[in-house]
Amino acid sequence: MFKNLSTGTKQITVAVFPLLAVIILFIIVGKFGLSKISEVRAGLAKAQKDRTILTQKTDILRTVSASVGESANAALVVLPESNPSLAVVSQIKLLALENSVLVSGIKSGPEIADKTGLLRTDISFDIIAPRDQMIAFIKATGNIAPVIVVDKIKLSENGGVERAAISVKSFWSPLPTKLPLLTTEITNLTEAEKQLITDMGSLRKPVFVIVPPSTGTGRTDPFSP
Amino acid sequence: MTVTLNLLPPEHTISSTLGKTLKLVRMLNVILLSGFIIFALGLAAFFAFSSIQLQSISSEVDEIKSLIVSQEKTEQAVVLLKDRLAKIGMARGVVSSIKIFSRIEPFLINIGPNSNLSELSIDPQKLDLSVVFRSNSDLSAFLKNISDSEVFKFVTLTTFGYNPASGYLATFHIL
Repeated sequence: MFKNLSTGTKQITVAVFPLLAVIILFIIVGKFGLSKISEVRAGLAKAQKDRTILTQKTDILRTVSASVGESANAALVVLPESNPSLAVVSQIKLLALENSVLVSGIKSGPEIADKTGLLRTDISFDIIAPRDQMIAFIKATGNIAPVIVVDKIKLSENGGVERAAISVKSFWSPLPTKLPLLTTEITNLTEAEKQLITDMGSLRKPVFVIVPPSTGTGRTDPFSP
Repeated sequence: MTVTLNLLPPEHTISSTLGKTLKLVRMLNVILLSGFIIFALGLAAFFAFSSIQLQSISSEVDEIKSLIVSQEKTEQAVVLLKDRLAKIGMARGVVSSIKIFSRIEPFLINIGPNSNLSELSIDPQKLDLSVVFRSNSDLSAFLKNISDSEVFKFVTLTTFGYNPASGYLATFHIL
């Protein structure tokens, strides 16, 4: 096949062939090698990022582990997971008792989706008391847990009797159902959040009485005499 | 005296220009091949180094992950706390009548014993107040107090009446 080629051409072909082969190898190895390396480097960058996030996460978890459970429970009392009407009514009655205010006509409305995204129920009630005690009572409603917002106040005095019709909004929200991904960053509590936790501490929490299970005083075997 | 012998047949001889070119190409071959070997070895070394680094960091990450999994209760509490705090913030952001009530409260206390707070209606945006003043001096003192204060943007006297039996009835719309 190459018999007809001149000596010069043959020699050039023989000399150029390795040159072309090396260039092709350069391209193949370069392309394959660089793609593999960039794959490993991307994995490395991700792993380094994950390591930074996870280290930061463990540091935060270690720092807050002592106090976070207590704060979470307190926050759950301030904003419960289910309708807190009963607790709110109980708090209002306690507050009324302390301020010598007579409470009547307590009504709780249906569940409403508030525009804030929370669920709420409106609770209305009437109070009778001297003006000073009434004012003290109304102001004290801002310091109870579960959190309520006074919506409307209608106060009137008639024949020496002072009455007020008050409507409050009581909020709740279901608990989060999912934990974030393991590699998702978590942030430490901000100053505003820490302040809110401090504020929550000063709120009056509802007192629930836990009735202990009764101890068996009867017969252990109902069939024996 | 040296004699240069060329025993090749004349058709196998090459020109000097071609000879130089061939020499250059062969030199280029050697350089390129050396370059390729260095490049390939460098690539392989870098790949190996990066892989070892990745393996070491990955095992470190796995260790930290298992540490975090063991702190799952704390993480749950953090997530719950942050969720509640954000929502408590939302609830506290809802406009309350207490703010406007706190602003009118000093005036309520100053309503004299002879006067009568007929009606006070407050919602988060506005306040309507009706007071029956027994005497002209009580009415003047209240009006002076409320006009001197700067806590309200607008105070409108919506109705005003006089009844010899009860006194002056003044109704205010306050923003």
